[in-house]
Amino acid sequence: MALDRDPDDETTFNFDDLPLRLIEQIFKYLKTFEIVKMRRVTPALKDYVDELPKTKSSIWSYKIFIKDNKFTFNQENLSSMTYAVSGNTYQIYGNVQLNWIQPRKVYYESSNILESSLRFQGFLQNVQYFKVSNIMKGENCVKNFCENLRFFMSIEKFKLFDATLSEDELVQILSSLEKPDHFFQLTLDQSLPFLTAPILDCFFKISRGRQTTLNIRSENGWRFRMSEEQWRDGVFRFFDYKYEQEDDEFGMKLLKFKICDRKTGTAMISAVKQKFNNQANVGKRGNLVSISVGNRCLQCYLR
Amino acid sequence: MTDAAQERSIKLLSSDNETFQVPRNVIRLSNTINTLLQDLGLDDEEDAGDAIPVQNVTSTILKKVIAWCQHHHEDPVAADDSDSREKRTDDISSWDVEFLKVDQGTLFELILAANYLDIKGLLDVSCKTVANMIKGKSPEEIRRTFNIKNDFTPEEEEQIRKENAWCED
Repeated sequence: MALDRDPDDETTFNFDDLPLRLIEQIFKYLKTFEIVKMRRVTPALKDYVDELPKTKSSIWSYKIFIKDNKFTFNQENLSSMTYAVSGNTYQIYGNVQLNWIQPRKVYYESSNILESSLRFQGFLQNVQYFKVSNIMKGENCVKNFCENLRFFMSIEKFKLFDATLSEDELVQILSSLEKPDHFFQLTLDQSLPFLTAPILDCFFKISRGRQTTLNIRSENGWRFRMSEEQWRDGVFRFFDYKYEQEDDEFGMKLLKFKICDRKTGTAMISAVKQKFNNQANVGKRGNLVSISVGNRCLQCYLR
Repeated sequence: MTDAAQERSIKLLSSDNETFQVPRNVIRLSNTINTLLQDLGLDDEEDAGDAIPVQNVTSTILKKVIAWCQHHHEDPVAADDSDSREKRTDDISSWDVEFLKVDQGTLFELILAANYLDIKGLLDVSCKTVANMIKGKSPEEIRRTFNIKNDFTPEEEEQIRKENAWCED
């Protein structure tokens, strides 16, 4: 029901004179992309939209349509995400936290996960935007996509709260680990940005010949397992993404490892301590060991 | 509110000094008026006496507001709409659609009046109408619809266009 202006109407609806509360009242009936579009209408509206994160209540229910193989999506809270299929339209529901100060972009490409081309564009703090093309239609595919979406959302979140150990540093640490005597399992939490190809190569190299599984778990509890075979076959070769480096806005950056092998964990702690010339502070609570170096922290869970 | 209070009338004085006699059970839709009457202890008075000044609302708009309240005063109380629920804009009643076929200046004033008088139903339906005027339009069409001058420099416009590309491609 898009109404057009009466050509004889000389009066105006002046958004700039409308109290912000009332603009928000109007905006609550718009979808997120329509609100974002308002940034282009006037400078005042742009400023208003850009300030929306300060309004804590600006969480809108959001519906996403996948139609004609095009998909535009932004969503912050994946924990409540559900989806429904209606005809040729897939609807994914979730809550959206509008927050678009500090624009930034993440670019991602993969040709494996959904057997389709997928482009991931992250933009703005706490909000992720996805553009997906050539999504295969079908309920299972949507389900898979949601699963993977959780993963990508994790990447985006982790990028904000990421670890500061560089790829080289992590490779060095992993390389220095002794080969585990038995089943080796490593679960990486909040470290996905560092699961680059060299790191994974290194990981599987040190555990070659053993039944090895890499568990990756997101904050939302979503997880997947990746075997070396899958890694070699390229099934999960989706870690080579590019992104613009963010400033450290959060001070403390956290890298968590959960290691299910005490010997390995101990070796890793030693490696880290050695790496930082014993400047690291080590704390232990039960089986959880925390190592902090400056504003960086690594946690190991020893079993 | 007692039955007697429901049956009596309230006088409202617009910003341009026109007085309107409104049944109490009609203007009950305005939380501002309700609160005012209750705070002043006038809700149970037979005769509320002087007209209540509604300083921010002109007679033209106040007349429209009263007409809306008159039509809707027997509506059931709307359920509280939580933020998590989807906000629909295609559920405006045909009466309201006709009622809101007004010039944009009037629509603007109605929103302000509904906000000032705290009439939730009128505010909702007015805002939905504006939202419907925005939906499906490009930024340029939105500017044209609302007669908005483009204050962006070409550089600024290009920059924002890039920032918005994710949702407008």
